[in-house]
Formats: sequence, C-alpha cells, structure tokens
Amino acid sequence: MKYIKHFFTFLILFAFVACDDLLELEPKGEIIADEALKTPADVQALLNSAYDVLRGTGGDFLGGRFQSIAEVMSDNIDGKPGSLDNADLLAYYNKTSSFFTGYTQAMFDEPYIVIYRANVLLTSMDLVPGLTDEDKLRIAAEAKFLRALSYFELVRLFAQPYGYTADNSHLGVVVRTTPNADPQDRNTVAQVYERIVIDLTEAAAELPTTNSVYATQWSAKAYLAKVYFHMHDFDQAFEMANDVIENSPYEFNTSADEYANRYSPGGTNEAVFEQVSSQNDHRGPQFSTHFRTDQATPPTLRISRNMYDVATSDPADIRGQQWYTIVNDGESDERISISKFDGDNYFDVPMITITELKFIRAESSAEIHTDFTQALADLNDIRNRAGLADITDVDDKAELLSLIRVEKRKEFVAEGIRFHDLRRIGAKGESVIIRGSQWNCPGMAIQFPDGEIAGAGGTEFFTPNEEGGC
Amino acid sequence: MIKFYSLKQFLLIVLLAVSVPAMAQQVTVTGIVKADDGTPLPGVSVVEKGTTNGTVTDADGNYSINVGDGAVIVYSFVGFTSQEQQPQGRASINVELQPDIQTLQEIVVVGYGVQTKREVTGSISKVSGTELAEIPVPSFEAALQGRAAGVQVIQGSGMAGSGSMIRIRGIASLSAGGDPLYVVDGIPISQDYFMNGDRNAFNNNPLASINPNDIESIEILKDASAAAIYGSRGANGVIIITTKRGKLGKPTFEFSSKFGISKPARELDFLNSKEWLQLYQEAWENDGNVGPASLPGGISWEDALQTNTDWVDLTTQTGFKQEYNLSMSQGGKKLTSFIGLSYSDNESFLVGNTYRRLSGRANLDYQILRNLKASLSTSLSQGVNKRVNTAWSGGLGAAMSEALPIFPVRNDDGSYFTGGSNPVRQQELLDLRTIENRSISTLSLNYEPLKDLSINAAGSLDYMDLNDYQYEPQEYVGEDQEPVARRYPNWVTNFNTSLTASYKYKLNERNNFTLLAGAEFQKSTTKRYNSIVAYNVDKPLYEDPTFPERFDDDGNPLANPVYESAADEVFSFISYFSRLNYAYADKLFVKGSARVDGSSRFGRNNRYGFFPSLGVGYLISQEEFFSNVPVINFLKLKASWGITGNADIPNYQRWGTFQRREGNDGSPYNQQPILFPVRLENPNLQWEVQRTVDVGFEAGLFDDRIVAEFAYFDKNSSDVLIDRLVQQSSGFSRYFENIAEISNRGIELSLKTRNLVREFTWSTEINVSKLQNEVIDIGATPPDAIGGAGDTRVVEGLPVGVNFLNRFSRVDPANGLPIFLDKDGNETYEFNLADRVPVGSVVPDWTGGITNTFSYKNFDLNVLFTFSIGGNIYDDAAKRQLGIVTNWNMRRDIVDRWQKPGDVAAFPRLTKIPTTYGGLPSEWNLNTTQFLYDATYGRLKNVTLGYNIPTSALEKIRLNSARIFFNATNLLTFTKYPGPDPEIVRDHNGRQGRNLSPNVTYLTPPQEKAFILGINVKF
Repeated sequence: MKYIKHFFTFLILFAFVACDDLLELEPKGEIIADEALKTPADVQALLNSAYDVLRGTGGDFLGGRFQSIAEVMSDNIDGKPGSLDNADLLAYYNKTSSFFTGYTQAMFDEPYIVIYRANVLLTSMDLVPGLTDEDKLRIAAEAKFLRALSYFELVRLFAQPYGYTADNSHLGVVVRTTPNADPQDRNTVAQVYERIVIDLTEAAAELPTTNSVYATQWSAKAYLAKVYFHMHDFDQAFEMANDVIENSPYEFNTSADEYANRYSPGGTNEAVFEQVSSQNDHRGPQFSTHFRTDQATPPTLRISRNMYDVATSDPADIRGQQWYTIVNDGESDERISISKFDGDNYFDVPMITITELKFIRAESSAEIHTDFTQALADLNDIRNRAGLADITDVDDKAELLSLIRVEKRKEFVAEGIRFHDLRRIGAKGESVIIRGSQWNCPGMAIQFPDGEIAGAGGTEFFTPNEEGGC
Repeated sequence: MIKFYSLKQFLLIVLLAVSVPAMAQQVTVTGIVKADDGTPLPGVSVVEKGTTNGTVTDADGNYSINVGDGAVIVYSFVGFTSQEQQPQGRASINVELQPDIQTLQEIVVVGYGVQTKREVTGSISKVSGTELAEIPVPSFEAALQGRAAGVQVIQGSGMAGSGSMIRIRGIASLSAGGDPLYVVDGIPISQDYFMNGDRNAFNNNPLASINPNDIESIEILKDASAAAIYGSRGANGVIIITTKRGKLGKPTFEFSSKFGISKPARELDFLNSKEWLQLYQEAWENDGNVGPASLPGGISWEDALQTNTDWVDLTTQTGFKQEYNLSMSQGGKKLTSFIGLSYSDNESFLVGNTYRRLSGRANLDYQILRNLKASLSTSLSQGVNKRVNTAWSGGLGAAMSEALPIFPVRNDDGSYFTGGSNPVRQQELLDLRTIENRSISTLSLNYEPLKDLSINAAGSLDYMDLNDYQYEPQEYVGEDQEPVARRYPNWVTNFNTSLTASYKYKLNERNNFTLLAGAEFQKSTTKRYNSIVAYNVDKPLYEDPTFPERFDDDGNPLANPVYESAADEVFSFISYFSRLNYAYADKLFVKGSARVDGSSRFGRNNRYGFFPSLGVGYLISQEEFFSNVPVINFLKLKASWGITGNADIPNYQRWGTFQRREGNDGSPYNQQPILFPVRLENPNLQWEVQRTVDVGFEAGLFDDRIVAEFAYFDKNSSDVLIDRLVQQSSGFSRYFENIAEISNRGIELSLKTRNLVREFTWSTEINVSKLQNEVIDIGATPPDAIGGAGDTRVVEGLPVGVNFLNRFSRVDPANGLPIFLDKDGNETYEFNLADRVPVGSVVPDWTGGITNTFSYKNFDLNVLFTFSIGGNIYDDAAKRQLGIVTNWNMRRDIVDRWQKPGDVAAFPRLTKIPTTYGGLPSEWNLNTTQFLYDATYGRLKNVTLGYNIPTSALEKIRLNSARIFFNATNLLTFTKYPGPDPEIVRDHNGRQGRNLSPNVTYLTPPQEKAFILGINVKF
C-alpha cells in the first residue's frame, strides 16, 4: 500500500514540475537559422544550393521550362490542335498568359529563390569565421553571377525588351539585393539591366579562370556579351564575345559531332557555362518532356512548318536532315517533331556556348564594322560544320544580318533563343512580326503569377503586365 | 450442438488463457412483460445481468430465458425504467414496466471522466457502436452522418479506405486544420491526412485502420463547456472513441460477418467515339479550319472511327466486400476482458482498388487490490490499401477526361496503346500500395486511496508505420528506361501520459461537488524519408521489407537507390487542467473547467494558452411548481461559455531554419552538399482562439414520447491562422500568421419521438442544424492571396470558401458566343478575370438526418435519410468537359450546344480556341457560374432490415441470439446537381484546401452504392 502511495505521490510531483524544455523541440533534420552558417563549408554549401535551383523543381526554371516557353512564343512551334494541346503552353503561344497560368505560377519563384540565396550569401558571409579573402571574393562573385543570370532570364520573359521605350523606363521585374520580404512594385527595365551589368562586371573581375563546374570569369564575360547584345551595345558585346572566344579554354568544335555532344551526359566543350547532370540528377528534364520523340508518350511540342521549311531548304544541312521527322506531310494533321534531345535520359544543359558567342560576335561585328570578314568567318565556321557551303559575298549589312539570324535560328531551334532575339531586333528598330503579332504587343511579356501580385497586396501595390492585345 | 460447445471452448483457449468460472445450475424462466397500463410490450430486452445472455419479448410480451439459479434478470425497454428480478426458484416471472420519466440516466463519456446525461451542461452527442457496426462505410467516421445535430459529415468518395470530412458547428479555421480532435481511449491519436500528400490524388485516411466493431460508443463534444477540457485542441470539437470492454459474467462470444457489393452511386455519362469526333470536328470547323481535324495522340480518322472505348466501363467494376468479426467478453472477480479479431476485405467499384484490414484488440481490466485497478486497452491492426489512380492522376479520373473514346486499349500487335492516356495500361502495370501497421494502446492504473478520491495514471502509445509504395515495371517505363520502385515511409510514435485525480465531496444532502485535477504530456515523433527510389529492380519494395543498402563499404552513398531524407516531425503538448462540478439538490448543475496548454508549435512569445469554461444546467422540471405543468415531463435549461483553441498547425513554423542535403540525398547539384534557408522565424505564432456561447434546452413531453434537444451557439474564432502569401519575388512564398476572425452561429435541434409503441413500433429521430458562417476579418489580404482548390476564396463579410468566379449569363442565339456579366452585372462578350466576384458558398445552410425505426415481431427496419440544403458545388473539371473542346472527353450534356443562328442552347458554340470566348486566356480560366450548382441534396443513406431469429429456435443450437440483416447504402439520391455525386471530398494538398474547398470536385469519383447481407450470432 505504501509503495503505491509513494508511486502516485511521485507521479503527481513529476507531473507538476515538468519544465519548458519539453516544449523546446528544435526541428530535427533542419538547422536553426542562427546555427546554419558557421563554417566556410556551410557557405560553400549555401552557394551550391543556389546553383541547385537553376534547374528549378522538375526543370521549372532553366531545366527546360523557361527555354520552352520562349520557344513556344516564337515562330518555331506548331500551335494547331493535335500538335499543341497543353493549355498553359497554348496560352503562351497565343500570348494570352494570365496571372493564373499554371506554369508561370509554378516557375516564377525559382529564379527568385536563386536570387534570395545569393542575397543571403552576400549579406551574411562576412559573419562566418574562417573564410579566406580569396574564398570570400570568389563566393560573392559567384552569387552575383547567379543573381544576374536570374534577373536576365526574368526580365526577358516578364517584361518588354530593352529598348521598348527609349529610356527603358517601362517596367521590368522586382529587384532585391538584400534578403527581405517587403512588398515592392516592379523596377524599370533600365534598373534591372543596370543591376545585371553591375553584378556581371564585378563577377567577371572577381571570379577565377577555372572553378570546377561552377561559374568562372569566362562565364560572366560570356553572359556580359549576351546582355550587352540585348542592350544593343554592340561594341561591348563584340569585345566580350571576342575575349571569350579568343582567350578562354573553351573552343569551337568544327565537327558535326557537336550536335550529339551539346545535349549529352558528357556535355560539350563549347559550354562556357552549363548545368551538369548525372544519372539520378537530370538538369534538363523539361527539354526531354516537351521535345523527346523516342519515348512512349508523344512530345508536347512540335515544330512549325515554317521552321521545318527553313531548316530543310538546303538538303546538305546535316541539322535539317538529322533532327526532323514529319508525318502526314501537307495534311491537316501534319506533325513535325525534333530529335535534338533524344537518346539520353540525362544530359548536361549548356547555358551559353562558343557557338552562341560566335553568333553574337558575328552579328555585333556586322552592326559595327564595315568590314564583314569577321562576321562571315564566324558564320561560315558554323555553316561548314552543318555541311553547308561558305558564304563569300553579301550585298549589305541587312543581308548579312539576315543570314546570320537564319543560321542562328536553325542552330538553336528548341533552345529558347529565337523569341528573345526577335524582340531584341524589334526593339532595335527593325520591323518584326511574330506569327502575325507585333513584337511589342502587350501579351509578348508574360503575366506575373497571382503569387507575385496578390502576395504584394494586389494591384494597388504591384503593377501587372497588360494582358492580351496581340 | 456438441460441436458448438467445443467450438466455444476452443475459442476460449485461443483467445484468452483465463480460468473459466464454474457453470452454475441452469433454470428456465418464462413470463410476460406488460406496460403499466396492462398492454403487453414486445421487443423488451430480457438479459441475464452482467452477461450478454439475453432475449427479447415476442409480439405478446412473452419471453423465455435460461439463466443460472442465482442470476439477476434485467428487463429493459426504451422509454421505460429498467427492472431487475431474481428468479430464486421461480420458473415464471411476470413484469410490469413503468414509463421512464428520466431517460437521462445514460452515461456519457466526457473528457477525462464520465457523467450522466442528466448532469451534462454542455452539448454532447452520443452515437453507440451498434449503430455504426452494421453500416458498410469506407471508414467508421462516415457512419456518423445524419446521426448528430451540428455534425456535418461529408462522406468521402467510394475509393477503398477513403476518409470523410467532419465539421462540427461549421468551419472555423482557414490554414490550420479544421478537423475535430480524435481521442481513442484517452489518447489524442495521430490524424494527419497529408502524410502521403495527395500522391495519386488520394489523401491518406488516418482513421481507416480503426475497426468499427471495436467501438462501444462515440461521443462528440461540440460546445466550449464540453470541449474546453481539451484546451488548445478543442476548438473544432472533440470526437471521443471508447472501445468495448469485458462485461461481468461467463464468457460470451459474438461472431458477425458481412458480404456485399459496391457500385458507383451514380452513373457517369460521357460521349462515345462517334459523338466525340463529331463535336471535335464541329469545333475545328467553327474555328475556321477545313478538312478533317488533327486528332490528339496521332490517331488517324480511320482508326478513330473504328475505335469506341468505354473507359468508364473499363475502370469501374462491381466490387465485392467481406468482413468477419469474432469477439469474446468475459468478467470474473479479478479480471474482465474483451478480445476481438476482425478481418475485412473491401473492394471498391474502381478496378484494382481494395482495402484490407486485419485487426485484433485486447481490452483487459484487472483488480489488483480492492482499491487498485489496472486497465489495458490495446489494438493492433494492419491496413493494406491497394490503390489506384483517380481524379487528375488517372484511372476513372482519366476516363472522365483525357482518355478519349477514340483511343484503343491495345494496338493491333497486342501492345498497350501509349499515344495518349490509357488508364487500363496504367492500372494493369502500375503497382500502388499503402501499408499501414498501427497499434493504439493505453495502460492505466486507477487507485482509490480514500472512499471518494480516485487517482488515475495512464500511459498511451499510438504507433503508426505507414509506407506507401509505387512500382513501375519495365513495360511501363519503356525499353530505354529502368524500372523503378519507390517507397515513401513514415513512422509515427505518439505517446501520451496523464495523471488525474478526482474527488467527490458531499457537503450535505443538497450540495455535491466533484473536483478533477490533472496533468498531461504528449509527444509525437514522425520519422520519414521523402522517398527511397530504387532503379533497375524487378519487384515492388514492399515484397522485401528490409531497406535497400544506402551506403557502400566506405560509407559513401550509393548512386542507386536514392534516399531523399526529410526532417523529423516532432511536437509536444504539456497541459494542466482542472474541473469542478457542482450539483445542487439534483436540479442545478454547474461546471467550471480550466486548462493551460503549452506546445512546441507555439512561438517563444506565446508559450502557454489558458482555456476556461463555465456551464450551467437547470432541471426546472424538478421544481415543485413544475409538477402541475401538463405535457412536459422533463425540462432542462442549459447555458455555457468557454474558450477553446486550435493548434493543428504544421510543426516548426515558429523556427527560422535551414536544411542540408548531401551525398545523393535528394540529388543536390553536382553531388556536392547543399544548405539552404527553409523559413523565417515566427516568434508570435500561437493557437487560434475560439470563444463560444451556447444556450439550449432538453425536454421530454408526454412521458418522454417526445424528447427534444435544442441549442443555439455563437462561436467567434480570432487569431485564425492564415498561411499568408508573401510576394514571390522575396524568394519565400508563405508564412503563418494569426490574423483572421471568423464567426459561426447556428441552431441545432434534435427530436426523438416514439410514434407507435405497441406490437408494431415506430420511432423517429430527427436532427437538424442551421449554420451561418461569416469571415469577419482577414487583415489586408486580397482575395487571391488565400484560396483553395477550384477557385474558392476567403472574403470578408462572406462565408469561408466562397466561390470566386466570372459570371456566365447566357449564350447569344445570334452568334453562339457566351455572354458574361462584368463586375457591375452588365452583360458583356468580354471575358475578364477582373470581373470575378464571390458568388457561391461551400457551406450549406441546413444539414441533418432523419432516422425512422420500425419493428414488428422479430423484424426491424431502420431507414436513414440525410439531407443538406443550400450551398454550392463547383465542378472544376467542367471547363473542359462542358467548355472549351480540348483533348478531353465531354459529358453528354454538351449536346445542347449552339450550332446555328437562332439556336437557344445551354452551351455556346464549340471551339478549340479559348480566345473565341471573349478573349479567354486559357481553358483553365473558364471558371464561371455556369458550372456552379446548387448543392442541395437528399439521400436515402441507409436502409437496414433485420431479423432476430426467435430464441426458441436458437436454444436447440445453444445460441443466445442470432440476427440476419440486409443493408443498402446510398440507395437513392435526390439532387439537381448533374455531376457524379453531390457529396464531395476531393483530394487536397493541405489543410487550407480541405477547409476552403469541400464541395469542389475535380474528377473526384462518386460514392459507392453498397448492398450488404450480414449475420450476427452470440453464443
């Protein structure tokens, strides 16, 4: 009896002296923010997590989704029923994306997660002991590079292009350089590009020349070339592209095996910056989903007749011969598919290549030089590789530009480059009509998702894009 | 007969090794039972006390029972006071039962104790286990529908093992869980519906593995006076489940079995191949195209015309159900025990879909000393859910959408067709299985050191091992891919310890007190992996329960299989509580309670919450002056007030954290470790606060021929949590904040009448509740910042989960284009998302149930009719089934479409180009009132016809009782809603969707119509 009484007395005492510690359950498997960034390895891991998001969940960002949407909005894709039945992609095709477009809702946060992580790195790195000055410089430069790359992708898809207004006072995307969640309206395109150029310039100055699979000073310079090119600053675009082509360890591949290498597990040596894949970690899944023709399920994107005709007009063109399959030729249910991404279940995703830089150098050169030698040399390198004859004589700059652009279209079909080029050319002042729509009609800039608009507090606080009108 | 006897002994040994008390000498007692007015009473229960040995009187009130010589016979009948008789040698005993003025001696389980119904000051509904056991439902909670006022049960779909949605007195939460707290034998059980997310469009049902046959009673605590003892978790009501315990007396056995079939409750009508092609071509031509339309999946017209696949037919079947239960109850001087075993195999009407449950229970009570008792309740169950895809994930959902009638199942060479959706291929090749092993156990010690002091110490463990498996074989993934097996494991260890002391103090004859004080600690740990993915394996991972090797000999992670780790989910609650019951002269009852709750989920600025309550019950009919009041024989007035909370929020939201992944864990970039921020700290996070006022009465009229209960409640919920959208460009998308305020007000009425009480008896139970739900405040949040599936929103001044849609006006007969209404209500051709307005509501106005019970001689008939009046259903899939012509099949209703000028049609001219309809951006945006329906329905939910085999026939085979019954579920449905089912619980990806979007359907399968034949034998 006594024993029982003692037992219950003990229980009662125990029950009423329990302390708060029982409630202090820190998340297991997660790290409390204050404890997270303690060593140089932690900082490096945070940086790597920013690279990790470049693909986006399931490829939502540069794992093929951003590129595919740009492709759909160009003139390379067939939009007829039976060929393009995905409602979201069809909305981009029709330039009628809205704040409810599912793909936009899913992908929009991804570049901003990269930016957020870069911002956390840039603001908290100094507090971490043990980082050498060299590491600090490199990590900060990589963070800036990733931030710039993300803003560049965002501003090209969600805003009218650089040059749409003379002073670029038209609205771009929200720019944040510190980690914060305060509601904010969009910055102007001028401000966005200003940030991109600053970040890339600093990155180019501070990044090492080799850096494993991560960004190097060549990556930053290559992107600078592309950014300047989109800003119509052809002098600097030429200079940067030239620097990378002539001085970097990345080389133009004169062999046609480049077409197989470009989207392969080993990747291409032309890639100045790329996302590397491994067997269980495919970095370009949305390219596979949208385009692959060797799967049980048919591709969700097909090539337009116009693109097909351009690509196959010269029977010598290896690309035209190898990449395309057409069924029901000329019928109302004609279908054209492209095999560019076939054969491999994972492949490296080149973000910027020597070939693209040669196109940039060629076009920039044509814009600024009266001597077309350089431009033709670059163009012919690329043509020769495709089995095409040299072009030796052009009448004028317009013809040269046109030849370069056609070649670029054929080379990079399905890679999301054409749409931005068309708008860039329009903004430069040439007349550009994309499938019957003016290059600058409102719907050319895709709409922000409701998470950005409503998350800011609604349209009183955030200016969405004008919808439709194309 | 010998056979039966030995079977009984055999079972006795198998089930429990306890000594069998010596058999007393048996005598047969016969007699007649009459009412006080001399009329014979049929159907009176005549039972040997402390046993389940019993019979019922026949039509003339006659009975005959074999009992031990020293036994006590109990005569009981609804509405009459029970009577006890000892035979003491008499062979004939005639009994006259007196009407029971007090039906309120019924025992009701309240939190941490029991009370008589008479003493209860709060709102508590009780449903007995026997009411649930005969009804075939995917999970026991579905059987609560229509049985308790103010308890809205939306039964889930007909999928095997699917869960229901229960809302007690309305929806009071937005982003935090809105489900009531489930307490089984004292332990708040694990009740996470999202443990498997909505993988394959199915939310795991944490209640599915509970065997309904083990349930003695379910008490539903509705108001603050009743639920405040559960403090920070009582706000959405509490459902207390008490399992069966051994009864005093010799061992008695009960065996029951059910067999039946399952079919869809309503038929689905989709277009056949020819019709579909015709409409598709019509849309193609309307869009200005010529020639034959380009068909989806690369199908040629020739093939399309030759194919006519009925996918609905191929994905549905007549399911077969079977269930077996065996239990034993026994009670000796020291030990009483209840032992039960159960097996059920529940095939649904979806091809390939089965839920099997094997469960056992042992509930033992052992009197260690005169004043010390140990009680054990323990259950062990395994639920195996052979799952199939539905809704957006495939299966019947595909049959209702992307699986076109022009698609064949197989190609000419016999291989599966893969050019488009093929739910048959998917079902036949994919192996989806969820296996749940669960044990819910409580051990308690009850010690009574003094006569009126009782101390109870209890420890409980709810352990759940939930594994979801997927296997995609070679044929499914295709030749150049590796077959892949996935496993999604969860292990939940939820333990609870409590200590309570209760003291009864009798000041004098008129003043009685009962004081309860207690403390409780609960901690739950969920360990899990996000996934384990094994490539190039030839069988599903459930066939080998060991985990595949993760590391090589050097401790480096292997490339295959890929483990993706997840943070453990841990939470704890520490609680102190006290309750004082005061009774004055058996007519005035006052109850006060208070609880302090601390939880690991609350931010550091809000560690403890205080939850008081007060309730008063006044038995006015006990007063002298009331004895002259005619008609009313009983009247109790009740009022209560209290504060409860809701703490059903995700764990760790208070902490700002980072997460690390390395090796092949989640495949971080370049196989290098990654570390990334997960969320920001939220030091102010706390429970939701609910203040409830409740007034009501209970009345008995005409000597309890009519018993009525009425309650009015006013619940105000503040600090309601919103998983607030943050501007996405911050890099974060959401965080929890206590900002909203919601009001739920309503009335509840339940009425029990005994209409006929003679040979033919007829009684009716009606319960009905009216609810008014209103969002008072959501801070400065725009509508699109908080939404649920199918475009439901939260808007101030309107009910939770309003449908936020464009308004459809009509089809223009001249050109066939849809005419919408703009924000101001003017007709327009233009479709503009800015014209969306709150139009419908997911909350019904009235819900309830009507039960009629008839009995005649040995037959009884129980008919339950449930209804829901008001509110809306939004069919989120109609935009493609009845809207834009896409590569989906369409419902037959679309035949009524505009074809030529002058047509007055329900649906506009067909098009494949969304912009045709006033610039509609995409078919996904065609969310209009055209697909918003009145949710009112009435349903013949359950009909049970039973026959109790006469005792005389049973005696020969030594059975105490035997019953055969036939049950039909969802026999008839009355509704204007044209879709598959007017009761909808679709799959959701989180608590917010579950709160905001009941009654939104997206290819959700209908409920089942089931027919069951069952027997129940006691011996």
